[in-house]
Amino acid sequence: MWRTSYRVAFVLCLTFPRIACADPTPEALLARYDALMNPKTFEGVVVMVAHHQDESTRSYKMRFLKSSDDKVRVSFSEPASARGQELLRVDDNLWVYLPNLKRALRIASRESFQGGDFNNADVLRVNYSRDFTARFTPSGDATSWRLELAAKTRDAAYDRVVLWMSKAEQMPTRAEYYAVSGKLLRSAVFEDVKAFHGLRRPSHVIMRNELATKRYSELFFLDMRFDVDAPPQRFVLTDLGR
Amino acid sequence: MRLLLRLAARNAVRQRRRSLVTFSAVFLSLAVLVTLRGFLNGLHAAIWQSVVFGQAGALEIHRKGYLSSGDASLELDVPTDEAFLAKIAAVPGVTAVAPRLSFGGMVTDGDETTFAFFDALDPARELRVCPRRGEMVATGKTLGESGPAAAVLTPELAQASHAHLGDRRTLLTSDRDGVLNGLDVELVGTYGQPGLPLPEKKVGFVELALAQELLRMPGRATELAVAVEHPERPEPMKPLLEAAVGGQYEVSTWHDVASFVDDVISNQNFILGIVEGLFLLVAMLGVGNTMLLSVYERTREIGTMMAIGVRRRDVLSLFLLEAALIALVAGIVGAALAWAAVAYFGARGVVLHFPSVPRPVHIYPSLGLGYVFQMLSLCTGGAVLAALVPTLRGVRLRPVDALASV
Amino acid sequence: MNVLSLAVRNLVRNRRRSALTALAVALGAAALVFLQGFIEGFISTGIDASVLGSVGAVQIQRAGSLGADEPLKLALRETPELVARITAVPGVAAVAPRLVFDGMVSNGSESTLFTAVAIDPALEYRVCPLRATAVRGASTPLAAGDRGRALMGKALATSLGAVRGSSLMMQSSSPGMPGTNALDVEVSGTLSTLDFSESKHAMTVPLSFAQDLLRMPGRVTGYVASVADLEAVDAVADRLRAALSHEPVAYQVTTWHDQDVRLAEQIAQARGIFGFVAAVLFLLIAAGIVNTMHLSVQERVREIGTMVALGTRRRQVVQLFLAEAAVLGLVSAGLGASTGWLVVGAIGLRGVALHPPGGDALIVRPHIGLSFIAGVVCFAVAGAVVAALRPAFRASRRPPAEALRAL
Repeated sequence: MWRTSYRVAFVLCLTFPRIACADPTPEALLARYDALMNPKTFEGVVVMVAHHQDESTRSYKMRFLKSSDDKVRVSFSEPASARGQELLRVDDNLWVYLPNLKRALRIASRESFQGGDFNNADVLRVNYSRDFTARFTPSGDATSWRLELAAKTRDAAYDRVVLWMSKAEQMPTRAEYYAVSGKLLRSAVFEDVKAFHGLRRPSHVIMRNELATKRYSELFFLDMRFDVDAPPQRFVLTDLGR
Repeated sequence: MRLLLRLAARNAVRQRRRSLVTFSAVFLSLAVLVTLRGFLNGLHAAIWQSVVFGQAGALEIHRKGYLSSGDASLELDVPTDEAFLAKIAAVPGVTAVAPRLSFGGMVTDGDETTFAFFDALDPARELRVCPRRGEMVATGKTLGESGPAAAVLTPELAQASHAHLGDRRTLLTSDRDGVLNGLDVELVGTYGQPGLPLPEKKVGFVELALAQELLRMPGRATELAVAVEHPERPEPMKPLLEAAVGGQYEVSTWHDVASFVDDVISNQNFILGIVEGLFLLVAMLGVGNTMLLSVYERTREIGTMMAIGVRRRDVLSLFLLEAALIALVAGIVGAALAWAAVAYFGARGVVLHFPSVPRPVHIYPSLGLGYVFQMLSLCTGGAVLAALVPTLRGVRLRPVDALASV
Repeated sequence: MNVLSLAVRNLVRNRRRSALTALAVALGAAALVFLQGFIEGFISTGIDASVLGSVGAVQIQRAGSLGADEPLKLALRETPELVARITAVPGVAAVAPRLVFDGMVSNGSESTLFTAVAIDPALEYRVCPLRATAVRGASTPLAAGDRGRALMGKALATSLGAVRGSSLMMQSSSPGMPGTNALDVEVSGTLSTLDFSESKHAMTVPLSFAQDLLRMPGRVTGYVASVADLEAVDAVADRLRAALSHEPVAYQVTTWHDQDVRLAEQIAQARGIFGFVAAVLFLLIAAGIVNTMHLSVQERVREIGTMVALGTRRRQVVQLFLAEAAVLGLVSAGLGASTGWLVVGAIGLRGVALHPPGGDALIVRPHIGLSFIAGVVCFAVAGAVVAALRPAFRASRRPPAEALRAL
């Protein structure tokens, strides 16, 4: 059996994890981020508000489902004109299902150039553990850690990411996304930590296009469920509209 | 004066061969110039008419700010309800109104997409405003001859979407709220020839109703085209239309919208001006040439006249009048001939083929009396000027010397 | 006494008459030369703007590039062997690489679409020399060694509030590249553009910059070549096609005709108009010459009668008149054509500014070929001789006695 001192330490670790346990490693924090923001499978309801250059806004309400192999299916419920529309993303292919045509049409991802409302949300697709190596850098702020992430391969959408995680709850608070040239392309702010069926995570994300700062989007997570059943047949074109 | 005039006329007739030289030079110049002007007028009319009746319409109504905004926004739209259109049609001078919707979107076959600009038209109303819309359709049918889900595309767009006549494609675009929508269309015709100098090569035309459904803009459009009784002078209609539609909208004439037409026309007029100058100059020199010879030959005659007391001034006037008379008569005959030619071709029409336009272009030469008068006075005045110098020299001689010469 | 010198002396003797005829012919010749110079200048400017300023004489790209939706997918590898092969084709003067791409350009708060041409400043100006001058105002064209500099259309610069020296960010991506890349760029000035649409979207950047931005090192969307003789461009294009037909990659060779259809049509129109006007001018001049010759012969009836009475053969009389006509035509047309040539040359040095609709001013420089001048002179001589034929023959046929009695 354990020696008494270890027993005490173990109990203390359980009850006061922040004080007693050692600081997490960068890899551990990355894994925590992925677990919170990009769990294997999850289902949720989210409202996205897109702010345009001319200061007008558009908002969409949708239900989304993510599979373990990174496929995403989105069903729109608001605005009313979008009800019944679905999006399916498999790797870099994107299809839109239109209920009036009862067909799915593929959309080239280059459309994002036309200032599409959804391209700011690219930042949420990043898989940190898989694509990045991490190390700590001074954050200048006692309440959070600052992580420098460097892309492992050329296939990562961003060459470098800076991620701030709060020490209190190990929640992401801010992130900056850089291009190969070193230019800051996007930034994200994570706030409003809430409990979703027992699991706490940020419920409000503000994503900004740092090259054209008047253009930014917000995501409000209304409901989230983790580790749901996301069978592959739900991510097939023929299933859209059902 | 009348005596001098009669004398001048008789002298001119007497010296048939010499007068003929002057006559033919002026006649030819004027005939050619007037004919050219008539044909150029016809060409210019054909140009602005093809733009006004084939694309733009005499006047266009937009929401204020639409034309100057960079990416033509669907937010700045205009109503197309019957009451509003009737209000515009009621303005005196207006003959027809047609709504149009311009938007950008993707043409997709379900797998590959290509971006293009679209103009949505109401075929029945459009033909009343732009009766020559159908002319640019090179192959297949026009919108009016087809069903509601028809599309007419430029050859570049058809090629980019790998579509042939009869193929179905889907138009995909976002509406004003950013929500996607798609509708199927069938390619029924192609517009223009490849290589048209349009700013955008990939353009498509669909029915207005289809576009309104696609963009979820029922009863709205982005512009209203207006046809008027006198499209060649649309300016007076502008304030009338502005009063009818109100301050939210702005009215533009085809001069504003298709300003390149004015540029092309003024360039061509500029060139014609140069040609006119050259012709007149050469003709006047011919006149001067003959007058010099004439004065030289008739030195004894001049001497005789001065010896019997005719004043130098009157001798001068006599010669100048001769030149003026010949030039005037030659000019009138030349102009009349040209006028007849222009009238003949103006009635029949001249058919020209331009490689960039699928159908032959009909030109109807026409002339304004103002131009003819202008040319006549120019050449008469020019003849007088051309005759002045040699004549002056001739009358400076002393009668004695004049009589003694050959 | 030989006919020619007699002809010249006769002409000089009747100075006034000769001078006037000469003046008419000279003016006509000058007018023709002037008009031709103008038309040719106009045509040259149009061709130059297109060929030397924009599309180039010949373009070599991967097959299927003309009108392609995504030209970057058909990019070529920059290979010196290919460039050498192109340069080796007889008729090719210089070769330069190009990369055409689009994306978004922003000033930090707003962004808008652009279409860019990336050039290699060290090589480009030998192929398209007008790119070095097609800049507005005090803008400087891209120079070798410029990395992060760009030229843009005026409307584009205005919409982003950019001036010379401003810093902007260009963002783009290429097929196969995940996400996008962005780079800073310094605005070097604004481009002269031909129409408003170009002014709203066009940018010119250095090739190395574009390759960096798109993460496509060593790749281009095609090559552009200039030719020694623009008239022979089609022959050069054929030779290029033959030279490249055995390559593993399928190439497409196009000329400026293919890229700029409208220009060819405008040229044909301009030449047609000139032909018509020239014909009428010729007619006018010819009419003048005919009549003057007629009068001249008529006046000298007694002179002719004297000559024939003294034993001059009829043939010689005719020869004399024809010689006079020829000399007159030669001298006056020569003078007129030279004057026209001088005027064309003078205006050509200054240039005339013309405005295409919506575009910046084009400088038209009239110019004329010596062959045309020679042609005008020959025509004047021939025309004068032909004009003098009939009156000369008729005059020589009159019986001397009658001729002497005349006038």
